[in-house]
Amino acid sequence: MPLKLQPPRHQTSPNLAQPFPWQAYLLMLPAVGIVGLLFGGGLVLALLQSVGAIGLLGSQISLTAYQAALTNPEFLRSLTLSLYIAVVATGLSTVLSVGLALLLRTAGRWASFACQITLPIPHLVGIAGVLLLLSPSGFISRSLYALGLIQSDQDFPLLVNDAGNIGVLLHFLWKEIPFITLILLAVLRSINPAYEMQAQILGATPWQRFWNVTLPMMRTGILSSSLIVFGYIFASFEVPFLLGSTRPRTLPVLVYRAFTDSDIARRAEAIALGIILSILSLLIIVAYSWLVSRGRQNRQPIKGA
Amino acid sequence: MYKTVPHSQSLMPHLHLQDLTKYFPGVTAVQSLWLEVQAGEILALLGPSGCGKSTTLQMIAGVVQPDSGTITLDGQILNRVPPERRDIALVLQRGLLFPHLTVGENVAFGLKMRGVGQAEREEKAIAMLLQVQLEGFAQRKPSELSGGQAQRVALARSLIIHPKLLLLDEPLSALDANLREEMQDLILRLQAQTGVTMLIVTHDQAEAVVMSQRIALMFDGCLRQVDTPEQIYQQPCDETVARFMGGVNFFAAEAHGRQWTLSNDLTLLSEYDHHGSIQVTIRPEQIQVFIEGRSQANTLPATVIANRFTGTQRRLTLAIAPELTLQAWVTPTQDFQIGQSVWAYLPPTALWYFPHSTVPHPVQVS
Amino acid sequence: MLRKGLIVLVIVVLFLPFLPLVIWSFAQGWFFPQLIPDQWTLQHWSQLVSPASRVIEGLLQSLAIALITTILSLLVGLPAGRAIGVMEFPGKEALKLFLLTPIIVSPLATLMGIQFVLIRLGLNGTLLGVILVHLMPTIPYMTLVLTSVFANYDIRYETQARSLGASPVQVLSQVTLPLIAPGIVVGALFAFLISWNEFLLTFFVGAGRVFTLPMVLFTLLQGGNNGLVAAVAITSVVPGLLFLLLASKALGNDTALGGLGNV
Repeated sequence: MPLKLQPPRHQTSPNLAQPFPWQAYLLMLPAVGIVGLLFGGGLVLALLQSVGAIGLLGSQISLTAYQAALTNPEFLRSLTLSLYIAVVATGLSTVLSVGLALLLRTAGRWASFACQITLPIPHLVGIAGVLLLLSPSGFISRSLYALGLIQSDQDFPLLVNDAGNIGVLLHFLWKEIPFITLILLAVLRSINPAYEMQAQILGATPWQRFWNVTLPMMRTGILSSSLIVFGYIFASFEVPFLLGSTRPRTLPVLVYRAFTDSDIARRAEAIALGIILSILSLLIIVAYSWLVSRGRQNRQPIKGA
Repeated sequence: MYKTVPHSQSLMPHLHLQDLTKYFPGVTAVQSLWLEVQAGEILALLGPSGCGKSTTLQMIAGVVQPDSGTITLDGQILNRVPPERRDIALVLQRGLLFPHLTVGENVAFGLKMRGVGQAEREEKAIAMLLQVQLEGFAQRKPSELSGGQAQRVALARSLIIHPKLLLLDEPLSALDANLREEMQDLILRLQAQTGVTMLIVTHDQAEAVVMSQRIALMFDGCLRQVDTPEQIYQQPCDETVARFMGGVNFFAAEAHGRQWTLSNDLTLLSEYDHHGSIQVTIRPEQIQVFIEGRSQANTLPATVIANRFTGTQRRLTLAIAPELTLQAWVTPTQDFQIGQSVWAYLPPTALWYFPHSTVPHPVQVS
Repeated sequence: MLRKGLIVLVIVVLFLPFLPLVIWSFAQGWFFPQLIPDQWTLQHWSQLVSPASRVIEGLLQSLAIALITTILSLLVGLPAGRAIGVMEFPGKEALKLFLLTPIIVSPLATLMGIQFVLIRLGLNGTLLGVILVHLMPTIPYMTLVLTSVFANYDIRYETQARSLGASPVQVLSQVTLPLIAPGIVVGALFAFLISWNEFLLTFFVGAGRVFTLPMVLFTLLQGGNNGLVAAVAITSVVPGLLFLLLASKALGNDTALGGLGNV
């Protein structure tokens, strides 16, 4: 049998070796196209309106809308309030979710399922429930009266439409803890328990195991879910509108008020405020991806076989 | 024991790979590969991981496109034929049964794709399961099977469509040692019954040796040697091949015809005629060790410096000269003391050589 | 024991807001400081079905929008999830991050820009316009979930099927889709819930003519009819809860949810 044998040749690939991954981009096209066209396009149009390039009141390019937005005496107070609500609600729900996920890790299916109960509930339903529960004439106030702990609804602390936005915070905790917990439970279950066992064998106490093994492995999951929740709360409109303080108002409520103002000239200011709000949220994504890329350098993604 | 001679010795090879080349970003996965497989033959494509054997398999199956070269099966050029119309079946590691289908549905999958009716499919699937000794398993889910059973279902699933070529990717490597032998027997028996041409891809030289009639050895994207298992063992084409096949004894020597002189002036007699610098090799299990000397050529005085028992063998390290040691694997019934003086006999027929150069010399072909 | 007690406490707190909702929906004149109403009534529930309350209209519009949005985002999310989950290509991380922007960045400015175009296209205040903007948050969720599912999916099943004679279309229908079905269910659940829950997007683009259930509830919440608010609120919970129950098995699939934990 004739046999042709080649001497071994080591060779790096010529240029043709790297085929252009057109197939991947083609598959991405619908999603990226729709999101780009709607979200990106919308943002560009808003930008053009805010500087007066297009719009109802002729087309004279100016930055007066931004000037009006930034000099609005309420702007800084609204921004502070929005950040306060988003930071406190996200921080608390993240910490409590980590605890709840660890509690549920070994609990049965029914318990996990019961803790997901608020997941499919619309925010507006939650708002209605919180109002009827926490308002001065709400169910808790009535219960305390029945127990003789308060003498009238005047004695009950203001928890909705209050200056501290307690109602808003409680609503977000109620709605977002099950969401983050659901994600963290999935992350926890994908962690090989052998790591924790190994740490235990090496002498780690339960607290040390959690702090040095479990928590670092949950890091990406915690960052991701808290990013989604922070973005959502920071941009939320109906919750602070219906449950929050009347003055100051959060940025989205401020934008809405300016947009629906009878003075049509305030529209450009509303859009400018909206753009500022978007830029702030974009900065959050940048900060997040920086945090994640810092963590990825020394960490391998956990992936199934 | 089931190894059979190829069914038809036609002039045209059944599977013919001509000048097959595949580049991946940064590496040449397969470099100008030529290979012929006869109808009914079992050929093993052997090599370390990353040598390009899996890429070759994927090109034959049609899921990876070669950058150049042609693949011909049964006289038909396959390069532009989609995988589902190549008549080439694939058995991947661990069987890879579809988890959402029952065992019976898995076996009948290929028939369903060909539009065969339900009743006929079920009947043929059950018959096929019988052939792999899994009668009564049709309704089970793949998750309920053991590794060996899953592998057998995968075989049945591939053979039910009567492929022209069966590709097996590391078929035994995920199995336990004792299960391996059982599977190996089954594969060879099914091959004998159906006469299907088989190409086995593996990194395990033991698997290649027991399963195939010929071995094609691949390193770094290139084919190094294509021969019967015996020849690859006895007459490797270079040191890399020899070491991959478990060779451990290598000495520099000067050949003067059939007289080969080692560095310490010991002279060995060989069957091969050569002149110049060479590398001598001998398989460790071919060396015979005696306590008493014999007046026979190629018998060298030696000292035992290590003795390791492996269960089926006794692996001795023998010092022939100050800087010359030799591995000899003898039967475990022979026992030796460390430091004991013995005689090592290197049969002339077992001695093999490569010229001292990086380019492999032409191999004697069967 | 402490562990069990804590879990029970969490569940009780999570269920607490439903208690006044249920009572109010059957209460007639429930004044402070009554703990339990004196009189019970079904009038709030009968009000639901009267056309004047627009609840049935809102329910049907919400359902139509949520279902169509879910199907469309599935059609778009499947190829994108496959590309990110299975393939390697330059700019992958950047594109993934880009797809994420609509669920992190406030949509207010974008909505005002989109409204500008939709008015000129005659789509403002139409179902189609509302569905289009609902795709903004649903596509990212769908893509994230499916990316994770595809990343944990063994592509060799498809190689295997092809070698057994399956055409690309047969591979998709007989192998790929059945194998990633749990991921599809989870992605669809999220898309449905987001669209079902959406208020702000509908409010801006619906122009008062598209009147979904959240719009009904938002309007009622600014009035004072607690009984009707409670009845509508409870009604709005039902479809999502049903979907969650149907999908509960798929939610046990950790790789699908893991996608949201790895954005």
